[in-house]
Amino acid sequence: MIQALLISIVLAQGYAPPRQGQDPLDAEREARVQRIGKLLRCAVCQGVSIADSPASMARAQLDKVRELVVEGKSDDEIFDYFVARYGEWALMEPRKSGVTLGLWVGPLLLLAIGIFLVWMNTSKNAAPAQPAVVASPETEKPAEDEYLAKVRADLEKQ
Amino acid sequence: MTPAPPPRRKTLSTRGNASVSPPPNAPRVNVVGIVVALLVIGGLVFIMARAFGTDPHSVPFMLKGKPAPAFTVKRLDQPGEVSLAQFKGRPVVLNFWATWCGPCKYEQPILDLASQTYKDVAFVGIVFEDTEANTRRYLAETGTPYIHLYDPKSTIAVDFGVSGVPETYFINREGIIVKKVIAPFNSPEEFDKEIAEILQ
Amino acid sequence: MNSILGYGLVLTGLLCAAFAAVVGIVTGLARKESALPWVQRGIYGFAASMILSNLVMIESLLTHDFSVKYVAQVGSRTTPLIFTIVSLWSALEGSILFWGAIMGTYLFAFAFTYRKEHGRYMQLSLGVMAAVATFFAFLIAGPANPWTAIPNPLSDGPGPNPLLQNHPLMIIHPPMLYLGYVGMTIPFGIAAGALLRGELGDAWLVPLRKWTLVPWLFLSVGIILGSWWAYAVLGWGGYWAWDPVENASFMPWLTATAFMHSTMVLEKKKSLKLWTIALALASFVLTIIGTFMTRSGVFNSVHSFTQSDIGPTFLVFIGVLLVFSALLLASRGHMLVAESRLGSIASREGSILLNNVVFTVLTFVVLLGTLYPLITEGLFDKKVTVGEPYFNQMALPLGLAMLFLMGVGPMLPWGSADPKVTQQQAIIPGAVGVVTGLLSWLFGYTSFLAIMTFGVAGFVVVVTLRELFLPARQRMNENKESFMNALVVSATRANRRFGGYIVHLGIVAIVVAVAASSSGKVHATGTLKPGGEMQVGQYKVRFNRLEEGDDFSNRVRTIKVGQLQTGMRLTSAWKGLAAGTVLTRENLMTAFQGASASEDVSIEEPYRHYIAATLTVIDPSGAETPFTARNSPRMNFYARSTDPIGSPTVDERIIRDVYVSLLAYDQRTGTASFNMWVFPLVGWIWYAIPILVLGTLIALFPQRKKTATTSPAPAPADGVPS
Repeated sequence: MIQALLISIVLAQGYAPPRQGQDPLDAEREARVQRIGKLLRCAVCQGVSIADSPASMARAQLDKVRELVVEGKSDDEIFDYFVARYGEWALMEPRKSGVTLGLWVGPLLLLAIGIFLVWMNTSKNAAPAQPAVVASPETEKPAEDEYLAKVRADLEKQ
Repeated sequence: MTPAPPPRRKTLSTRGNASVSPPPNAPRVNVVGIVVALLVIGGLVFIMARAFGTDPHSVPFMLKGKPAPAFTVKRLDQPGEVSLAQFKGRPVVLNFWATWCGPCKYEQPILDLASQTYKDVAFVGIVFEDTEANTRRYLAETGTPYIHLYDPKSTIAVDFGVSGVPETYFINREGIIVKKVIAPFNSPEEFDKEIAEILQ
Repeated sequence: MNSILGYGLVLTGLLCAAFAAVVGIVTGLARKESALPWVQRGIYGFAASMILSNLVMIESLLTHDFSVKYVAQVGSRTTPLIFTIVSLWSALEGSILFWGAIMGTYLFAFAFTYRKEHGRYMQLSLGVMAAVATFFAFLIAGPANPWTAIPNPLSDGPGPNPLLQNHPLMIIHPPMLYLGYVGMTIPFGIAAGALLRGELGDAWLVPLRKWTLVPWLFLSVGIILGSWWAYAVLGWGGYWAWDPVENASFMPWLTATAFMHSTMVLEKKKSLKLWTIALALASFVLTIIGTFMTRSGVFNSVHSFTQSDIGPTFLVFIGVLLVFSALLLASRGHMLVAESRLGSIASREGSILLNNVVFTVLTFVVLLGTLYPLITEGLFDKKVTVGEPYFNQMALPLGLAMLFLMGVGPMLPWGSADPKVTQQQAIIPGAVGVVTGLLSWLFGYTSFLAIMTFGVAGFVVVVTLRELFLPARQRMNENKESFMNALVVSATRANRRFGGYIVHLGIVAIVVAVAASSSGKVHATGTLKPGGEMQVGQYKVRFNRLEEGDDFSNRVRTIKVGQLQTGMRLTSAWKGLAAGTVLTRENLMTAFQGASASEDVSIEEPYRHYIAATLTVIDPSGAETPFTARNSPRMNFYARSTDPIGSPTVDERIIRDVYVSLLAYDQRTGTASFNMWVFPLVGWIWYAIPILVLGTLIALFPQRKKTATTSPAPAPADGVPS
């Protein structure tokens, strides 16, 4: 019988009980809470924000945001509260300064280089207009539909 | 008008179109390219290799060297409230735990023993993310030599930057957080080593 | 027994793969084509042993052979049958073993398909693929060996990860992703083989493209199913979190998509060869980096497997692959010379080039964002988070640019465009786009990015439909064919084009669904008493009550009376208790009276306990949809996890989903806290799967080599060669 009891105990206990959070604020302030919550990382989860995480601790952190909002703190002051505890790790959106600047600049740089390369490698002297259909005397199977090309040519005659 | 392409063979071998082929004595191997590529690859592999052995789930702790956040909550064992301020002048060991947390129960005897050894130090347990009923039942069963507090909305945990349980905070006589230990203590010696810093 | 057999098969596979790799590469470089049959035999041997080893593992899982380490790790007698099979890939070792089977299947399919063709490339290509296979076989035989024998096995195990047991999508999502990942080995092998041989003719291009398209499709489906799973299971109301594991699957998808487009320029203009090849190599290397991210335990992710010692092995492999690819490209690059000049930027090739730039930048964003926390920690000892807001800010404008190019590209001819013609062509689609944007604004969308997305999407759809149907219309006019006939003929004549545009439509559906669901969602949260209602958007959700119970595995076992435990459920009547009775302390005590301990009873066991908050969704019209405890939002409790696993309710409709997840409950007061959302159009992300599949299949359909002789309409337009 000891065994028989064990199984029900295993199922009934040993779990973190989910705890209910505070009720939301009025619509306008709650929207701000949710927006800020999206930008703060849950301390006990795996890379989700405190607004997204179903974990109880995330709800406690979101309640803290509510509390700070009610106290009339600015967004930056609220972020600073969490950064003071967890460092920049707490920010879902890395700062556009310091070590994380590269994240923002790198892709833009690459984009610029890419567009530059495309610009360099395509011909600049705009060739006189010519229908695409004549341009490729392909003998291999057509990648372009010949009827479509014809439509284009027709269009041009108009 | 695109110049008519040269007659094409089925295989494109090394022959290029005269108008765009590279200068005849172009290097056959792009040395600069290789060097740059190897540098990038080296950097990439180096960064990933450095990450071995670090725990990706560990959460930074920035309150080290900062004053411990104040709190006042009601006691579990008797009526009345406890606030951190009342321990001013004594070192404080603050342990976050829960009844559903195996490692917390495992280190409990070590903390119990330490609370008897270090009479000058205030030991405070704070129950994290648990029900009051569970906590009371557990404490009634096991008994405890020091105070345990219930943190119903996890406000203390948020203030202290808790990232899971068990976590033990060591606070010195001036009320400054000297360190936080996140793993459970395996032996009284391990605990002794950690507490030494707040005893002076 | 099983472990010896299974491990023996792995070793056989390792030997076969290593043999094929060495013979293939050595004789390939020496240009001795006579050795090809030996390479093929090695590949077949690898495939057969890997598949057999997997079958033995499934057999061990099904028979609960707990003397096999992997079975002891993930098996459990109470797990339902289907999840027992699924547990083959539910943990690290098994997933790598399964990987081996897929790799075997792919290599076999490739080697067999081209057993008589492409002789000059085959040895080297197969050799490179076999080298990759050797690495994976080595992983299975060494660092990730699932077959270790356990001398004193226990009688039961913990069962697979609860998250994998929570939803049927988990049955199909991982195999799809693996089919996508592993499949990229084939284009890598083809490209590397061609580079090694130093002959980069057209002959490699068709297989290269086709064998990229196949894994591309699996990857697409796998990614979408993964997002569906996250949406339906994780309960946070999202489907994509830019988690390292999601990113890992997204990067090769991006490069493979870019490859699919640049290959058109290669074909048409004999240009962009080096770049196209680089994309094929990169797609594979990124799948390996992705696998490393998932399995090394170095990245912080919801999905990652536990820390393991395969990380360093993988990293060495990544290093070797990257150096190999870079050296290949650098030493053979001079052979990849363009044969004709590209046209102006306002041309088909111009738009494809820009498309490639955007895809490359997005790949870089994803890679950089995923690696950045490692970079700051490794170099500056500082932990940072690169989360959803970063990726969204970078990716959304790039995505919009892609969408725009998807409309502009098909409108532009190769070479250079006549501005007048282009303008004329753009009038109708452009007008439709403006109207769509305005309409979305009237429907209440306020986000600039969303309105732009809808507008551009309208433009793209019109352009795409015109490209799809105009050829058919032209045929109808000229040949007096019926619409269906004309459509079928025009589609089969240019099936790649036709299929490609259908895929485009699928992508547009996804993009619109993403934009609508993220900018048009309505959120509500709060705590309800039983009978209480909460408004979310135009819907109301009524909370009925908390219900508690057990889910049973539906696996009937016959045990002795002495082994009965409370919580089990009878599957046949016994001692006055009806079938279906759950044993409690009381009824068990009564039934025990006068029972003999050796009597047989058939029962099933619970595999999880649940607490469900049953609800009713009330439409704006007042229509009520009640949900049972089975599909109401609930918390599932598994013996193996200390945290309950929540599962949400998704009331799925064609135009919008009502999504409710249970945050917390209080059994004392009977109250429950919820997160609720209304997501417009979100389902179209997954409804797009069939469109993508259809389009890809059309594109993959073998081309008829002699159109003229087989076409039912033997009247080609003047001067157009057929």
